[in-house]
Amino acid sequence: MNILAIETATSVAAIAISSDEGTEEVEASRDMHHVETLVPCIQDHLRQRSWTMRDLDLIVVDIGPGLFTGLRVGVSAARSFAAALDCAIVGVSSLEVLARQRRQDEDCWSVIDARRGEVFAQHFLGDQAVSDPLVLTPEALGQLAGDQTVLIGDGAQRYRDVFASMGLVVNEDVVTPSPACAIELIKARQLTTGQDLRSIVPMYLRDPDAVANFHVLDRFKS
Amino acid sequence: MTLTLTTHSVEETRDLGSQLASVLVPGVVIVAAGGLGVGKTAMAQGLARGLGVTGRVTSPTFTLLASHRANNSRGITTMLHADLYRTVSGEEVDDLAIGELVESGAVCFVEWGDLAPDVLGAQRIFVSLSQGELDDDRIIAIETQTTAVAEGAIAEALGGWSS
Ligand SMILES: Nc1ncnc2c1ncn2[C@@H]1O[C@H](COP(=O)(O)OP(=O)(O)OP(=O)(O)O)[C@@H](O)[C@H]1O
Ligand SMILES: [Mg+2]
Repeated sequence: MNILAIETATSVAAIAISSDEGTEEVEASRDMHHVETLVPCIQDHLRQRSWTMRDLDLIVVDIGPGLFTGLRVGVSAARSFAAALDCAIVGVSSLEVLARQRRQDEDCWSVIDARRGEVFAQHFLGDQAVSDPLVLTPEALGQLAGDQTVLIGDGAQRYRDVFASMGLVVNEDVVTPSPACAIELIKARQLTTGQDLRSIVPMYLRDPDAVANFHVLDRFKS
Repeated sequence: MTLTLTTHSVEETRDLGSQLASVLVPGVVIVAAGGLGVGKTAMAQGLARGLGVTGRVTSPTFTLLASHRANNSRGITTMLHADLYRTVSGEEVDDLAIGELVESGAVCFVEWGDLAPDVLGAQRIFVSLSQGELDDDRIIAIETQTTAVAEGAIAEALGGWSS
């Protein structure tokens, strides 16, 4: 089975291409230039294998939570490929992919930088999620997380001083979601037949009420 | 505390913008308020000069958001320039993701930023421009809402224009 995985939930964009021979993972960009780099990166790596998009059987895409500017590039690319190729598509959670990248016997919180002073976080025991995905400040997460837990992800790294001051351990090895791991996750969950394309939308988590404060009339006075 | 300054020509407003650049750090959003033609773009042009932007800076009235490569000693690699005049909803402004983008080594100058300040990130400096006594006089009030840039540093950098 030939699978393409697309990862754009953080400032690092990456892809993985998998066939029966194995999986190869490539970083597309590190600095949020996902719009310019993602599609050329996919095309290059398919070409290197002498594949075309038509050789793909499944597209796996990280639907977040994560950066708005990244997810809208990755999810819309994945959706348009799937629609154009009539190929199966499946979404994965950034926090679940991250959790799969650490030692499975650890109690862990996956933590992704949400910017604007917040993180996305979810608690895992073994391969089970034991909380909903949350959006909260690093301080609030620190209060919630017990001292038996390990924090992973770029959000854990960014706020390592906050967490350290609260006596929490940050695992510095697991930083951003790996698209190769996303493929493993999909296989382990036997989701390789795909999901309804319409259900593949970015998970932003932030409350749209936060944008209600818009002053329509101000610009027409004076 | 609000710092109130006066400029007497468009060049002075550009110079003031350029000086303001010298106290900025990555992640800061300048929320600029003030009526049509008061001088917001002029100040943005000065800011761009101070940040080492080489291209031409004009109001992104139709594209809403422009991105310019910056080159300076303050670690600011991008100047974002937004104009919310034509936006019609908070969602539309939120879609620009200014609060998120600015944390990638950028600063952002937002004309008409007072229309939706809540979605413009956590580190904000408010700048309000208004007409002064003479035709070419502008009163520029600056208030920092972030600890990332000290009020004292702004006052010092812009001291030449205090009223
Ligand atoms: N002291 C001053 N500072 C700034 N601009 C001045 C000053 N005196 C005169 N001007 C003139 O005012 C105009 C300012 O135009 P500018 O495009 O910067 O305004 P703006 O606030 O961006 O308007 P808009 O809301 O339409 O975007 C220019 O024509 C400029 O020459
Ligand atoms: Mg303007």
